[in-house]
Amino acid sequence: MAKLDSMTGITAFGFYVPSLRLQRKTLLGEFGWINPGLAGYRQGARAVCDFDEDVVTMAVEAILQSRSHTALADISALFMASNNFPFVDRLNTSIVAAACGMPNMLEAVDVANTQRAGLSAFRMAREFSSNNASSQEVICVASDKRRGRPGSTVEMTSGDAAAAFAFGHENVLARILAHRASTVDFVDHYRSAGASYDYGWEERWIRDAGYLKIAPPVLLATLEDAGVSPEDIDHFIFPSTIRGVTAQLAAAAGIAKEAVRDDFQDIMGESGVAHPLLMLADTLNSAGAGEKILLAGFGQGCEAFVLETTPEIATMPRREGVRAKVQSDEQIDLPTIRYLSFNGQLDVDFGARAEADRKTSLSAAYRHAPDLARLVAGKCTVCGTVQFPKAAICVNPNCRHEGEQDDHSLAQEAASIRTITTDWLGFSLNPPNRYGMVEFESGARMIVNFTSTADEPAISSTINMAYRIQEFDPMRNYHRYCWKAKPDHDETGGEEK
Amino acid sequence: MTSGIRDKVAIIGMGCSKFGERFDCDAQDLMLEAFFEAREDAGIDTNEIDAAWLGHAMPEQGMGPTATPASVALRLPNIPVTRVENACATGTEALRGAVYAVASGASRMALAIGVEKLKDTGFGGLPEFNFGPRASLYAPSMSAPGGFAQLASAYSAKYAISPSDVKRAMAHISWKSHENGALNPKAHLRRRVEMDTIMKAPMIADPLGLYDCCGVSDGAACAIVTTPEVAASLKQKHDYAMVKALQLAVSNGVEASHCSWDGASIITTRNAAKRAYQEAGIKDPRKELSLVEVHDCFSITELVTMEDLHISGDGSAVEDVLNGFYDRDGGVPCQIDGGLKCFGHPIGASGLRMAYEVYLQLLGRAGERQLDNPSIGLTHNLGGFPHENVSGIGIYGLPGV
Repeated sequence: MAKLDSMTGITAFGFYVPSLRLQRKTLLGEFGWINPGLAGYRQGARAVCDFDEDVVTMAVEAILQSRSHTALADISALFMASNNFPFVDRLNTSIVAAACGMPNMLEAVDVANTQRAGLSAFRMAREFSSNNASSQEVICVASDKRRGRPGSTVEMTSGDAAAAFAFGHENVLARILAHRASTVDFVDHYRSAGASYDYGWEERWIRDAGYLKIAPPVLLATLEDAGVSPEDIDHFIFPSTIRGVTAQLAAAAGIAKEAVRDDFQDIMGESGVAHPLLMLADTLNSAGAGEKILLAGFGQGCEAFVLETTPEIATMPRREGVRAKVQSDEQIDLPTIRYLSFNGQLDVDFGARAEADRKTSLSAAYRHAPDLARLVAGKCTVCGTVQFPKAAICVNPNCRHEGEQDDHSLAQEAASIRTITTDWLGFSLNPPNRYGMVEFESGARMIVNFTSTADEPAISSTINMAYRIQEFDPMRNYHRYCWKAKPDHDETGGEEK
Repeated sequence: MTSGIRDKVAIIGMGCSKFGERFDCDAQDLMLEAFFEAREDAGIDTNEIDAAWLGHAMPEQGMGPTATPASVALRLPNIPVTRVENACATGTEALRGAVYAVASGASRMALAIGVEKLKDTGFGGLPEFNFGPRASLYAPSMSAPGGFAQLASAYSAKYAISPSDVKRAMAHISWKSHENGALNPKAHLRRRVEMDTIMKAPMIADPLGLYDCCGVSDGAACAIVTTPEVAASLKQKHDYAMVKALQLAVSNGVEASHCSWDGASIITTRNAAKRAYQEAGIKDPRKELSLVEVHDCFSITELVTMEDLHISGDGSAVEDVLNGFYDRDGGVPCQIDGGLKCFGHPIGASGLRMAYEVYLQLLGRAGERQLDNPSIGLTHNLGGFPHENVSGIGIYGLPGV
């Protein structure tokens, strides 16, 4: 492949790692009796989705971290990768696009079915952007939530996360100098349609016949296309849960071992299709100008990119990198039984209240799609009162204006808690339920569910809204999303009860 | 200015079934139990009733929709029978229909009957609520205790009263109702409970523990109403009570969607109370009311209701409760029959059950729990959640009061 259009490149990025943690030594305690070899994976923790998170909600978080919702309103395309999309016949990207406030006139693609799907979405977004002369940006996001059979090594090593990148032509932070891909039907593991879990082959064979044979030619060809010598690579990103593989690949390609990037296996696990892009986001977050990155991933062949950061990166506001962010997070430890129950891996008795029909009216949901996707409230054109839901008659008792109200999205607005309770009676997949009334900065208020926190947050403390699964309908295999209140981690903890 | 309902309608008969876990019978049987008592009390024949209102809030758990099951069970003579539903204020709503029919002259003698059969669900507590296809898109799946528990956090914050003091007042409220319920043979829960047990009970919805929540019961209650002239002319019936006020206030979205509500009071109760006092000619409820039966679905509801009814000043209900002002020997005895807490809460029957107790007290028929010379009593029924609800208030008194 020739050198790509030098105008186009990465203009923004973001990532998301959930707050729940599964301690590996706890998993070992539960499943070590099946396979004592799991003891070799006992260090550290996995970051995993809460019961109301999935690849869609994580993708929304990552994208909204990369770009403001106002900028996202002018996006031309969205490419989303996952091997664990919640829907197999419904454009998952369309859910994410709406929740991020992207326009209807959007090209959107779900990319799936290989561990390198995240890199494929990254490449497609890059190519779409470089073929599009308009100033509109293109987003790619990779999000994954891999579940292994309890007692498997996949269950010990995987983690959940999402990473998002924007491509455009202005204020480019990093350019792609070259890209190469090979496609080989190498079956190190597979998951058949409808199956819950992977079936994998022996690691030693995967390492020797797979990674070490299939990847090096692609890595070297990409470096050659980029005109970059292996020893000039500052950062080498190649995730693998097989120990030592990345270092062996670096050696095989002639890349300095210091260039091998942190894979965060100890603090969160490997996030499947999201992982190469998560590592790239972390790399860019700390990179200086003119640094060269070899980014690659494995899965039925190999896909590789050489990137170079621009002087623009020096002006970028710095955020916490992945390690700092994951370690400063609330880190709620999740008992194994709860984890299994969240994921339908253990059929626990949620009680008679779980029997209530939770059918979603698809017609009502579509009618209220803007309310749900962006929490669109109404702003009275006379008195300015912001109210949810939007109404034909203003709720302000001193106004009562009748007529159209302006749209006012609450999804990105901070709010404070007015009332709250922690409810052990009502049904929840992760009891107790927690909900209360929050009041937004605009004055709008609503009663909302809260995301999980260890303690009940105090009255008047700050929340931000987070896109989560609102309700599951097991009878029809459907679930719907909405926004919940996510307490500010630094402000949680009220009076001891 | 309307003339109001005061002294236009007389209650000549009332009945109430035994409340509780009535695994022995259907909703229809409960209605008959209440109806036979009321009919005998009034000394009338079924054929004298010319209109009826059925309060039945959860037909899926009970008798199904429409008023037909009541008409069939009671063998009413093909008269107009209307089923009403306004959540936990359903019983008051049924009585309101019957009273207004008599007051308008459309009916000579009307029946109000409320019933609920909640113990055929197979589990404790109320069934899960369905808010319809729109609200359920974004509303939490809120339980009744979870909805009302939020009053506590907002109340503590508003009046800067520590959650532990509020919790203690809540416990006193439940303790008092258990003391009262123990004296009531028709009550669901008749066991006295120690303060310490209440305080340490398992949490249902923070800060509401098990004893902060009322009983979920089966039961029915009913009233037969007529004009004062007919009441005075009845040969077999010599004592009766008068309706002094019936008011209803319903939320209009302000609590849920406008920043003017503080979450620590019930706006509708305040409005209904104001109108009811005016209708009944009550100027100082703290001094004039002989007793009150309020909607103590949860202890915190009773606490804020005392302020919403203007009996306790804002922020002073905790003190009044802890000082025993609402105990049976206090200034205004509250829940002398045990309340929803211990008499039980068959939703559609509750408003009528409250009126039944006031009626018995006024006529001196309350047995062991009889108060000294009560002359006027108030009932308060609250349906829904603090942020969106229906509040019904009835005031009943002796003729001439």
